[in-house]
Order: sequence, then C-alpha cells, then structure tokens
Amino acid sequence: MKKALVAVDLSEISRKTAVFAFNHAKDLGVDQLDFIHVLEFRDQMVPRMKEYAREFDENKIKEDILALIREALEESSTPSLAHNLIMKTGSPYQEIVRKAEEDNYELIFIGHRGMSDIEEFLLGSVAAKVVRHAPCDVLVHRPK
Amino acid sequence: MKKALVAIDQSDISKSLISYSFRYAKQIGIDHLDFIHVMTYKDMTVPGYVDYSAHLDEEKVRQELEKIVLEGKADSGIDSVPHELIMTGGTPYAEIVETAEKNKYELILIGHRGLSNLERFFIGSVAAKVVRYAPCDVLVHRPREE
Repeated sequence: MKKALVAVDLSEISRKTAVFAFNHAKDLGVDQLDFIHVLEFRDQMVPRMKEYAREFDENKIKEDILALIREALEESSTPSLAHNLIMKTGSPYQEIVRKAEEDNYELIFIGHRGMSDIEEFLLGSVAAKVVRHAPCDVLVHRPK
Repeated sequence: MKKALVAIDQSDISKSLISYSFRYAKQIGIDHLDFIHVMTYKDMTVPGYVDYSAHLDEEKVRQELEKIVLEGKADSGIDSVPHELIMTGGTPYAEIVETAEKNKYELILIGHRGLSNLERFFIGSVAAKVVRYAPCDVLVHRPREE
C-alpha cells in the first residue's frame, strides 16, 4: 500500500495543502494519507510568531487539526480516502523527517510556509529543511 | 494548458527525475513539460561538484541532454506528453525561479542530489533555494536509496 505524509499546522497554507493532497492522492496511486502535526515549545519570543504557550491544551490543538483535515476533505474533490493524524512533539522538520525515515512513504506534502512567517523568512522555512533532509520525494505546495 | 518545469543536469538523479516527470505529468494531468538546464561557470572547485570548464561546448551539452530526456521518456513508457528543452546560463536556482516567474507553470520538478552532511551545511542545495523562492509548487524528487 502506498502512503504519503502530509505536514500540517493550523495555517491557511496547511489547509490548502491538505486539500491539494486529498485531490491528488488517488492520481498518484496513494491509498492513505498520514497527517503529522508537531507541537513545538520555545523560550524566545519572536514578534508575530504564533506559537503555543507553555500551558497549551494539546487536546484542543488536536481537535483543531482534525477539524482542519475534515474541512479539507470536504473541500476536495475526493469523496473519501483513508487518513489519520499523528501528533509529535519537538522540532517540526526533524520530527517530519524522522517519521518519513521510519515508515516507507512515497511522498511528503508540505506547505511552503507555516505559522511562523517572520522566523521562517529569517531562518528558512520548515519546508526547505524538510527538502534537504527527507529520504523521499517532497511536494512543496504554494497556493496561487 | 498546464505546464511543468523540470530542472535537469547530466547526473543520475536527473535521469530518474526525467522518467518520473513523464509519469507524474500523465498521472496528474500536466499537458506539457519544459526541461531546463542551467550552465554555470565557476572558478572554485568543490569536491564532487560537477561543473563545466570555461570553454564548454554548449551544443554538445544540449545534444547530450536531449538524449537523456529521450531515454527518460522511453523509460517512463509515456509517449503522450509534449516536451521542450530550454538551455540557459547563470546561477541555477535563480534561472529556474526566473523562468518559472515569467511563464505560468503549475509546478517545478527538481532532483535532490543527496549531498553529504558537510556539503549540505556549507552550500545548501539548489532544491532548497528553489523551494524558498519559487512562485509555484515544487516537487523535489529523491529516489529511495536501495
């Protein structure tokens, strides 16, 4: 069975990337989408960085991500497709790459930019880091 | 019409990418593939860096790439996707991004060279730079190591 990994956070680009993944999975012969969300904790405060507070509610975030996935499936042209959500904690690109190394994924779908715009502008995006280190194909989605 | 831009050189990964691009185009409904090759001129010598000498024969490079494209197409078994080869000179990532900006491409396909950790740390990959600046989707192809 062919699987793809879809990296998501709560950004609009992630929602569009999820729609894109649902739309194209079948064309690419992918039977299952594993969505992955990585919870990240930081000390430093970067202006405009939408980060989780130390006392965040993990269940709430998981529910929000599940809602985003559900909306994306409805918005897509695919009636149904096997999928599930994997929640991880740590550095987003490292956890995404680690998951891809552990399992045999055809492809990783990721949005070109996530929630922390400014930081990504300065340091390079999670997508660019995933591209450098991923063991498989990576599709970086940039909605028009 | 949906078009994709495929960045190639003469590496083994590009050969895999070409064949993959034809199959991908067919699967996803891309009507035309433009292959792009950027000739770079550099003085410095980086180990493992395949580059052209100052007096390269552009026509010869073009012929070799056309041959690689046709081989990749034959390997893919997809005969129904029209394609062209664009030759240009300069900095690879900048030329690729600029071409993508001037034309309306659905997608850029590019190979991942699989650099060593050291090379990755110092120079970064063309693919990562294309991802950063591209105006459209980018598919970075990295065949699994057997």
